[in-house]
Amino acid sequence: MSHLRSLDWRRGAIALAAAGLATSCTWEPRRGEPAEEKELVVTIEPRIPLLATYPCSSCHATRTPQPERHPLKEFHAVRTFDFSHGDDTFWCYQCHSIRNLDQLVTATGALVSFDEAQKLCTSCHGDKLDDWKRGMHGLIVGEWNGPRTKLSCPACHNPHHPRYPTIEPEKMPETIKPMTPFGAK
Amino acid sequence: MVSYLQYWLRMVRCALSGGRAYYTWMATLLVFIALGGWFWAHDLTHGLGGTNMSDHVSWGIGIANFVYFVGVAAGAAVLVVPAYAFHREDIKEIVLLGELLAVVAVTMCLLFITTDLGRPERMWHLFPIIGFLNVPSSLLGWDVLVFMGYLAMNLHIPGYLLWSRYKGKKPTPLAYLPFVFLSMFWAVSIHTVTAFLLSGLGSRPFWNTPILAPRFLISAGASAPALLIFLFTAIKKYGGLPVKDSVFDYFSKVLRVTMPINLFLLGCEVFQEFYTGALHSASAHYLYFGLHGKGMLSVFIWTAILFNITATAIFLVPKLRTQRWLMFVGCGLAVVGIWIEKGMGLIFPGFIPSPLGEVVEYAPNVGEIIVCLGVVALGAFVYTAMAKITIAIQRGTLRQHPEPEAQAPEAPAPAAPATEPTEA
Amino acid sequence: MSQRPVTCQKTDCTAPSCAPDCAPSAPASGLVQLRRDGGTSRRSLLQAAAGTVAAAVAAPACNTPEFEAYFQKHYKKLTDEDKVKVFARLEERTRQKTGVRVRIGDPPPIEGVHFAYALNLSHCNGNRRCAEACARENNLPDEPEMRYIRVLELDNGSQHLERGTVYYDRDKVPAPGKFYLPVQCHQCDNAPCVKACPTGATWKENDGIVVVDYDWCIGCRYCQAACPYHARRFNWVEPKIEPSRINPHQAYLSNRIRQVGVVEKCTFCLQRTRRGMYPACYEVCPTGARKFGDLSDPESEVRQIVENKRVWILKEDIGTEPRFFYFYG
Repeated sequence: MSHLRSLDWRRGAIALAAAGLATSCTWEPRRGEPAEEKELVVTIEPRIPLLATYPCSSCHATRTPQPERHPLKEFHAVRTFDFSHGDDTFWCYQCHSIRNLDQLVTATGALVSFDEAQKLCTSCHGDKLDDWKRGMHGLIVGEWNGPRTKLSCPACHNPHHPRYPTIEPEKMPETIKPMTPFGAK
Repeated sequence: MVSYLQYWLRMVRCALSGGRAYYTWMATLLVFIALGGWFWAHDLTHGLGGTNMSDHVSWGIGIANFVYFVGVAAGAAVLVVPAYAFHREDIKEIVLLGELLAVVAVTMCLLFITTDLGRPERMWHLFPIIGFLNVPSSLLGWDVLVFMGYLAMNLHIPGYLLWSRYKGKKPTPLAYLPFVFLSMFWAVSIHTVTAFLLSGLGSRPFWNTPILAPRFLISAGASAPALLIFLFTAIKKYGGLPVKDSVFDYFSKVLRVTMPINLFLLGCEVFQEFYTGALHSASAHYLYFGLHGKGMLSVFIWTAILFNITATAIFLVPKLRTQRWLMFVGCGLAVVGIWIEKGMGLIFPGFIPSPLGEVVEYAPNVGEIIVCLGVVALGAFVYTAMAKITIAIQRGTLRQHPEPEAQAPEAPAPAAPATEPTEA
Repeated sequence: MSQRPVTCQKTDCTAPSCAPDCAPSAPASGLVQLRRDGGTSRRSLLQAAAGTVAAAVAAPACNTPEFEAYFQKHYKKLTDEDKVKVFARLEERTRQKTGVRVRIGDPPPIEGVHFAYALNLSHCNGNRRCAEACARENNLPDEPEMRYIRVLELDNGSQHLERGTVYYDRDKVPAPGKFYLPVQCHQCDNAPCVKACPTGATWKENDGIVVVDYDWCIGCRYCQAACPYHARRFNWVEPKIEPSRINPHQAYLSNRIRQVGVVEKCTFCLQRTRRGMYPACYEVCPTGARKFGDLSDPESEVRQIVENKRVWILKEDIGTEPRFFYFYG
């Protein structure tokens, strides 16, 4: 454990005498700590706790589903202007199950929970699934060698207009101080 | 031991005595030294933020001067080689003054580096054993080594010869000749290592060229003789040392060879930079023509080229170089031209644009220039004193046992208000 | 899209004796801190040892802090006992200068780990959160401003760095037709800066991080000239940092308060990453463009990227072998 490198001195002196000019040119590398055995737990961030109006059935129990495209009213009115995902044929029930509004439905017709939105998204965007699974796409928080949480698609991409938005950047770096004949200050 | 102390005391007394002109000259230098010291003290207490350097152009006029004076130090070989290898008697008479110039130039180089450090008080970290000198990997580490070696050799040789002459003994060849021949090669090494310091950096394409070391050596072979012509003219005039005309002819001959080669190498560089047209020539574009609307340095490099071409013409055309005043003009142009070529023409543009493509310009400010002037003044001060002592010992006026016929010291006039390349 | 602020939930204070207010004058806690990753049995042993050391430290009172600072040895020649003294002195200096009680640790590299970074240029939108979070985490001065990360805005279809700029001032990013290239220290395996340093004040650690001993650097700036990524910064003046913005969780080789006249650089936040955390720039990035991990772990994200994506490195022709990969994905 000791970082004492007293031997180095002597070795340096010998090298100096031998070479006439050089001293020992490298130190021994610092010994690392043995890696701690950490159990790798990768969890996927649950989505449902973030949804303010979940379950959907609390309202939709009293409303009849309308399978064809029409201007939305009430709570969802904003979607009429806001929706930009896929082409004209896209409609709520492309992704939300018409039979059970508390569930999502994939392209193949399987029902998935809101907590597993990635299964729905990647039923079309399959190329992203592999990247996401390997951690090459998407946000991961936690520890790089310990428990970490993968964020699912809707954490970054609003499913109704999935293009990542433009955001305000942090301030511009200071430009280089101008040269002055007498120097700064 | 006692006689050695006495020797030192006599040397100091010799350096302290002189005529009015001598005192005026030394006092002027002292003023510059004090000014430089004062400005450096400001840097020491406030950091280098007072300079115009930045993270983009992190080396400035200090390093530029360093590179130039390495050339001057190496240029002493121009005297040592003919004196000892070819036994030219006329040059042997003055070779000690050349070696002392090397001592002064190396000292100035070390001072240019020291004043440029962020933490000069930590210089001891560089010393082997108590600190750590990162050789063989760091070229700056090598530079420290070769400089110390060159300094030691050039202190030992004239020191030993002068001491012998003072004692009236014949010097033992074995005590100094091996070092003389070693120093010839060592002179090449100091400038080569300094060139490698720059050309070894892959991050700076402008420097990263194998031609840099030859260029440095040749330009040293041009700037040093040009400077020496001024120096020995001054020594002849004020120092009372009879320097033979054949010496000046020899310098002029050296310049006739080195100046055209220097231009040729510069031309090779320019061709490679501009014909290829690769992105790596951005620095050259900036230097010669400006880049993205910034081109502060182009006026300097074109001036340098003009100076060097004119000087070369003067030295090559017999009708011109035989005119004494024209030869002086040629020397002046060569000194200034090469100084610009190494500073504004090499060190500064190496940093522009930055590795990430930013064009941040640099010009030294008054503080930086005064610090450099202080270093140059210190060099001139030390050299004047050493030259005065050397001449006194060589002429026999400073001896341990003055011979009866030797006249009393006749208060030799100052050696050399030599033109130092201090243009700002 | 919620922006995740960098939180230092994992701090140094796992050692039992480490009350937050005992920092400046407690070599004992300092030594325990050194071996923070060690087992508990060893910890108690070391505490006993530290007591002895503390007594030894107190004895020669003639040594002033200035004297000790000036003759401080190179980091690699410091013994554990030396480190306790040095860190305590540095903590005390920061306290006197800024009034902030900080803790300086020295997390060692983790055996077998080789850190690497990967950056997805398709995702980076040039928001500069990374540069600012880095500044806060690593105690970078605001006066004059210093940033380790430079984000270049480039035109689509060209990587001509000169045509890009870091000085883009926009309301929203990304701007149409532009892409963004953040550059920071690449922790090169063949690091030109390490080769250049004349005093050995900068070196590459076993986990691949290039560090600087700020107390050994003489400020010659040769490393700055040698770095092809413009990753090194010099303290041209005494760095000023508002006391309220000082991050007290510091490490000797990374984010402790620097001095005038020395060079510094990005260390992949080793004060965080050697304790398992992600770097600050990674944590703050809202786009998921930044990927960090252990290159020798086949399951790690960076390794997956290097193996499965077409990664490239900046200025490959110079042969620096960076640990920083760019990719589009």
